[in-house]
Amino acid sequence: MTNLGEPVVGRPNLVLPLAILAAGVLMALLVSRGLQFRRDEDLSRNLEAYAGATARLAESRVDDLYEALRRRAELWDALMRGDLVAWHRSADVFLHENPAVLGLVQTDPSLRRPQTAGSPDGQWVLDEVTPKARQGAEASAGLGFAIGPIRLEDGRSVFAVEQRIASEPHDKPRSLLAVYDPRLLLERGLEPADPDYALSVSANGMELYRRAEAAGAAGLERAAALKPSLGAPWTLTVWPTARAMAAHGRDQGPLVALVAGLMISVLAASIVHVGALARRRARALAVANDELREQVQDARRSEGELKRLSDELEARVGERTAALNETIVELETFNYSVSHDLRSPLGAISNFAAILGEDYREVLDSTAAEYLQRIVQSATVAASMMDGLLAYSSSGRQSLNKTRVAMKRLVEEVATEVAAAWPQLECKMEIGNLPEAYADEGMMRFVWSNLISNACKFARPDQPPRVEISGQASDVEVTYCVRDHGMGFDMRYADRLFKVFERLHSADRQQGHGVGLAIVARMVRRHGGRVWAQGAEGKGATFYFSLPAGQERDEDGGRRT
Amino acid sequence: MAAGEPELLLVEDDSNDVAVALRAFRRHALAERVRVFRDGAELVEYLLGQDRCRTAPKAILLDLKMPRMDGRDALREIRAHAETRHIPVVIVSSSSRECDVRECYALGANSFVVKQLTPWSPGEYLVNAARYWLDMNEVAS
Repeated sequence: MTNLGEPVVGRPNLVLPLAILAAGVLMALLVSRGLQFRRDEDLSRNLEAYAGATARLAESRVDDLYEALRRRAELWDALMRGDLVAWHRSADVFLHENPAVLGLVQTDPSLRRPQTAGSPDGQWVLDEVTPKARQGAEASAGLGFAIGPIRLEDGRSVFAVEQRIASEPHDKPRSLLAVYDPRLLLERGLEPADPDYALSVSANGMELYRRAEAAGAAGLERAAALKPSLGAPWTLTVWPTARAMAAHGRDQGPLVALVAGLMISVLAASIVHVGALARRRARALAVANDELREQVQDARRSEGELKRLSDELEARVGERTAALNETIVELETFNYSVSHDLRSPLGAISNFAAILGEDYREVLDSTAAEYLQRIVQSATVAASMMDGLLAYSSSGRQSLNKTRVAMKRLVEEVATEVAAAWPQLECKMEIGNLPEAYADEGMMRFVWSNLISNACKFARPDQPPRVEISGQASDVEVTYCVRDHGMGFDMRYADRLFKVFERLHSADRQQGHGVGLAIVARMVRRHGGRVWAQGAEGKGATFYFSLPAGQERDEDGGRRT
Repeated sequence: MAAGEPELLLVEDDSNDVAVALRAFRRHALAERVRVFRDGAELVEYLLGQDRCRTAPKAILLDLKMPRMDGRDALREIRAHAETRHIPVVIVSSSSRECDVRECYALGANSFVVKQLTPWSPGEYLVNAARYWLDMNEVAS
């Protein structure tokens, strides 16, 4: 391909097709014009030929008449002088033979008066014309003359022709005057009429004869001079008839050539243009194809890239998760071993302080004994806290074993246990209707035990503890509630209740690990539930926890809280 | 029963615990019947070694966490030999983890006692345990 430089986008190149179109149109026009020119040329030449021929013919008709007149004049001069009867007979024959001649006047000095011959019309014409003819005759000196056209009153135009017989120069002239109608002469003389041509003969600006059409088409008429042997020349004008023009117009060669040429040029231009378009389209398609192929390759590449990134991400997430799990396990292990390993030295402190107090009771004074007591006490508290931490730690690792739990029965058991554990509290418990739950029974036992014993322990000193336990089920969850009428707490610290080692009451007054509620919260959350509390200082506390409505499916989902 | 041979073996690497235990045994006149080993290797040497004892002890109080051979390995060793398989082994550990307890019973422990931290009478729980195994439990000879 040589025109690779051509722009692929934008308007197609129209130069070539337009050039072809223009050249074609020009050629068609030229051919058409040429044809037309030749046609017109033919017409013109034909006209001219016809004009010439007709002029010659008309001329010869007129000259024939003049010659006939001359011969008759000579004949009559030689043979018939004085014999008027013979002259008239001969004149009638002549008039009969030449119908264009309207009348004859024989003038001879030997005659008393000029003799006339002709029809009554001819006589009338002669009367009209003769005076004028006489003037003309006198004006002319030759052997003959012709004057005309002379316009008659009835509109006809006639010619007067005189032939003189001059035997002697000074003789009184003898002459034959004839008046003829050129229309009649030409009408007969120019037959048969050619239907293609109209013609008009005029003399001295006056039309003598017209055939067919009223007027010629402008520029198409042709004139030819007609020179009779006597008188002024006539003019013959020829033009094509409407029929001929129509026939001429029907010659559709130029039009056909023009139309055909135009069609051919349009066709050629279209073919070239369509070809160019097709090539252009093909190139565009090729380019688009290449682009598409590239895009497909790009897409493949980015797909691969995406997959690689996704794999990478997955791998990273996996690594992170593994790392996190490892960290969690490490933390639990750390928590466990710290609690566990610290017990030994702590135990030693507690033990030896106690031993010191017992074995050397006699030696130690009361203050020393009290200090030793404090050491033992603190170590015991520390050990208790470690036990709490251990319990909290293991509550996170413990697996969840969900079953249908009859909460009412469970709470009754726990309440009995709590009452047995702290008989001195004389705790009064009111257990309402408790909907069953789908939960880990062991954990639920811990939860209830913790909440109920707390409710009993944090009683007001002035009245025995009273605990109300109730529950309620909705479509999405079951909610349980443990209400006491004890010391209550400040709602500002409500969220601290469920944290490890947070105490809202001083450690002196109440015992415990300080992790019970934290473990409760952890266990409830591991079930997908919530735990919260309401209360006021001195007005009792209410602890709530909710569990998702019991569906028979595993809702732990490996969650670790 | 040959004189001088201990009836109760206490295997414990922590000297504090050993001191507390021995004090408690002394207070209840049991110290004469107890011999202390610092780790599992010493115990196994005593029970199964070249210069082994001639009379099996009535019970072994075995700590779990020890340097060198620990309580589990020692227990495996004891249960692996016909001469010692029948000796009651009481695990004494500061761990109360369920998995530890279960594992020890699976290895053939006869009892599992958690080291107790009481603000009064330190080591008294060991005396209670020792009394049972020494005076109440019948052993196979």
